[in-house]
Amino acid sequence: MSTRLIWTKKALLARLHRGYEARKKFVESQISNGIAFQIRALRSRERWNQSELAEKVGTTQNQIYRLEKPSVTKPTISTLKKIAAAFDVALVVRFVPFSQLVDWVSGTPFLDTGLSTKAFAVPSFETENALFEAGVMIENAEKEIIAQLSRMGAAANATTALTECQQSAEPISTTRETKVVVIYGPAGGQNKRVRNPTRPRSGVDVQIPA
Amino acid sequence: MSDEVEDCIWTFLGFESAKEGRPVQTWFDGLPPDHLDAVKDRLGVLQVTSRGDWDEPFFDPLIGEGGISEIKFDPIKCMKGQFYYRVYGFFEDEAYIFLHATNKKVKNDRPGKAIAKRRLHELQESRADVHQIDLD
Repeated sequence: MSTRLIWTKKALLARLHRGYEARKKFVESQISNGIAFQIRALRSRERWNQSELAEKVGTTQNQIYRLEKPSVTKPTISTLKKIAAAFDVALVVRFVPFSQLVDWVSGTPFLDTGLSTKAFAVPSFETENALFEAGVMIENAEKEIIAQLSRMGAAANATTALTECQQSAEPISTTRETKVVVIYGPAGGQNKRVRNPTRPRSGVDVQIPA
Repeated sequence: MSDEVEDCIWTFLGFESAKEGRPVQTWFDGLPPDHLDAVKDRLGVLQVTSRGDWDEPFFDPLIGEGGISEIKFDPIKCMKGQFYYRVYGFFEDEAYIFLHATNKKVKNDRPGKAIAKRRLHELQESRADVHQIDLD
C-alpha cells in the first residue's frame, strides 16, 4: 500500500476554494497544530522534559504544557523567540501566499526565491487564483494553437513548430490590469490576436504569430 | 546533546470485514467538511510525528486496554453542539490501523473501546482485513 500525506494538493485547493472562513481556519489550524507538535518534537530531540524547557525559557511547566496543546496554545511572538533561543534554532514569522502553505502541508517541494520586494507584497488568495486561471488559459490556448496548425495541414510538425515558436519568443508577460496575455511573439514579428473560444467569460486575449 | 531524527510517514489504514464493510471509512465520509478538515489537520501532523512523540494531549496509549490506543481531536464547537471525536486503533509496522471512530459522549468510552477491541481480535484471527484510508 502506498504512503502519501493526508492532505493532497488537490484536496487543499478544494478546501481553500470553499471560502474565506475555510481559509482562515486552515491558517489557524496549521499554526496551532504546527507550533504544538514542533515544540514537542524539538523537546524530544533534546530529551528535555517540560520543566527543563520551562527553566531554559524562563517560564512555568504549565505554560509549556499549554504550548504543546493545540487546542489552547496561543503563544506570543516573544515567547516563540525565547523558545527558539532555548533550542538554538531560527524562527521564521512571515506572511506567505496560500500556494506556499499548500505546498508545505501537502509535502510538495517549492522554490523559495528569498528576500525580495515581491516576497513582501504577498498576493492574496484571489489574486493568486486569477493568475492560476490565466495559466490554465495559456495551456488551453496552446492546445487550440496546436489544433489550428493541425487543421492547416501541419499536423506532423505542429508540436515541433509550437516549441520552436516558444523558444524564439520574447519573454512571456502577463498583465492583469489589461487582461492581455502575450505569448509566442517572435522577436520583431507581428502578432495576430485571437480570443480563446473555450473561455469567453474571462476576457483574456491570446496573441499568436500572424 | 541531540540525535539525528529519522524521517517517517505513517500510513493510515482502516478496519474492513465482510460483515461490517469499511466502518471507519464510512464514518470519515459522513463528517461535515469543516469537521473533516480539523480531523485531517491533526492526522496530517501525526503522520510525520515520530512514534515516541505520539503522546498526550492528542494521543492516549490506553495502557491495559488490550493493545488498542486512541487518537484525540480538539473539541469542535458548532451550531449542532460540541463534538469530541476519537479514533481507536493500533500500530503495526509503519502503519496505524483505525479500528473504530466515534464522537465520544462520555469520559470513559467503554462501548467504543469494546468495538475497537473486538475488531482488533478479528484482525488477529484473520477474520477481517485492512484497507487504505481515503480522506480526499
